[in-house]
Amino acid sequence: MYRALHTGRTGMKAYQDKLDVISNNLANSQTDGYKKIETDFVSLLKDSIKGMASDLSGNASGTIPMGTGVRTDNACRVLEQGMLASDENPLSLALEGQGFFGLENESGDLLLTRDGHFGISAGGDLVNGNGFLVNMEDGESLEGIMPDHIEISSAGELFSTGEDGERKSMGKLKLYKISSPEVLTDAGNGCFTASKEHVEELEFEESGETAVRQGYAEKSNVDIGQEMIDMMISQRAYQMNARAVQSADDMWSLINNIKR
Amino acid sequence: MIRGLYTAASGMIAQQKRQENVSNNIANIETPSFKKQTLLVTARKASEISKKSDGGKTPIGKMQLGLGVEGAATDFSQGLLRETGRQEDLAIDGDGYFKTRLVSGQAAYTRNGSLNMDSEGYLFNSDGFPVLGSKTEGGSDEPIKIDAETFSVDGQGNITDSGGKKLWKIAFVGISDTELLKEAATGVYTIAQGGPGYEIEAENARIVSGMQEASNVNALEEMVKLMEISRSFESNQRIIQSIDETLDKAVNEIGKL
Repeated sequence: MYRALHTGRTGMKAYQDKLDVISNNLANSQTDGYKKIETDFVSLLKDSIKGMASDLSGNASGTIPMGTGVRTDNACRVLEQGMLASDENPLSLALEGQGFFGLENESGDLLLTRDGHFGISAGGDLVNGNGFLVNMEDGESLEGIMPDHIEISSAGELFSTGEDGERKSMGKLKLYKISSPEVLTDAGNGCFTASKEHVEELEFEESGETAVRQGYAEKSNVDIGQEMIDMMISQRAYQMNARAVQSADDMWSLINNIKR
Repeated sequence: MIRGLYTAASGMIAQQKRQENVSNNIANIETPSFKKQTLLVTARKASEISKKSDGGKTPIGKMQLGLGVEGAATDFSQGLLRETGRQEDLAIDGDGYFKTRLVSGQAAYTRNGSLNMDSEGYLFNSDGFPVLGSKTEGGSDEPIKIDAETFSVDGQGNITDSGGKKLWKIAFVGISDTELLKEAATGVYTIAQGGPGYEIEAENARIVSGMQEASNVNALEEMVKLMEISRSFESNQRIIQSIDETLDKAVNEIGKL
């Protein structure tokens, strides 16, 4: 009887975890640059129970496999492209294709992000909303330049156009790619970290698969309809597991009441 | 009289085991490529009973004394195919299994084709088992190793790179007698003796890319079973109680004035 209670409990736990993941995705359905998290279910190892007692039937049958429940698999980011939406800010950048922008925080660590809401700091650096530096190649100071006068090519090169109409190169954005989505660790604020061996610089002008879009923001890739359906399924499945636990409890109560 | 007590108890024990089994099916209602299991319950072998008449015993027939769990059967019917949009998720539509192998090297079969590539390029399914295939038609089956970054798979299991060049053919087979399949690890089945001898060509099966096979557990069926089990459990419990009452009368009230 304990086994049935336990099996039901693993089910309730797994669906609760799944609901947590779904609610996080739904909460971030309007967060720019957000990548949804997905998790799958895996059944637990099988235990075995003894077969029919041999004393009466005469044929001692072997052991019978009996499952012990379910768990959620490791949660993983889905790096599907989000929709690109135009944005008023000329320093809002979106990536089309694979790759990440690189940021440097106060302690000098590399952070990866798809959220390209950038601006110019008081010191003339290109920074994101948290004030983290955007990694650039040959980056010139942007001090005193109006954002409207900055032009960014699809290959990530920055140009400024001065009062006199002179076009000047101001550096090039550095993009990064990772070996697989599993290596990403959440760092908050829409940023990720990954250990050094899994990150490399993306040579994006050659591949042509990744392009920087100026004046666009990448929306969250959460599909609300899908999440809502998953939520309904998980809720009902949770309920059903609770029902199995309840029924095991009822049966136990019957055992306790055999002797009145 | 006491015999009936054990018969009813065997009923309770069998229903309890069935309940545990149903709980597991319910817990795995959303586990990809999970196959539901049913416990087979049979009556125990009938034993001879006889009546005592003056001077001897006359057999009067057989009486069944309870039941027990005899074995388990896995239902290998196909679960719904659900679209995931991930090209590396392969599902088999029809009767077929991907060939894989256990750590010991024993041949094994699985329906789980959600593939991942490790850092060396080997393909593993999400349970961590390698997927086997051959480089040439009729070649021996070995773990698939891909050098290309992206690949695609057609219905026959041919893996091609982005340029359309054929790299591998995934091995997927039918099993002539699925009753012989035993679950060796999560989602992986083996045949105890002469496994490869039961392999047949998977004629009515094809591989579909971008899909995942859902669990074949039917919610309604399991709920009805749950109700049936708890009621049957209850009836057996009532029988024990009523036997107990009768015994109580026999022991304490016979001979009272």
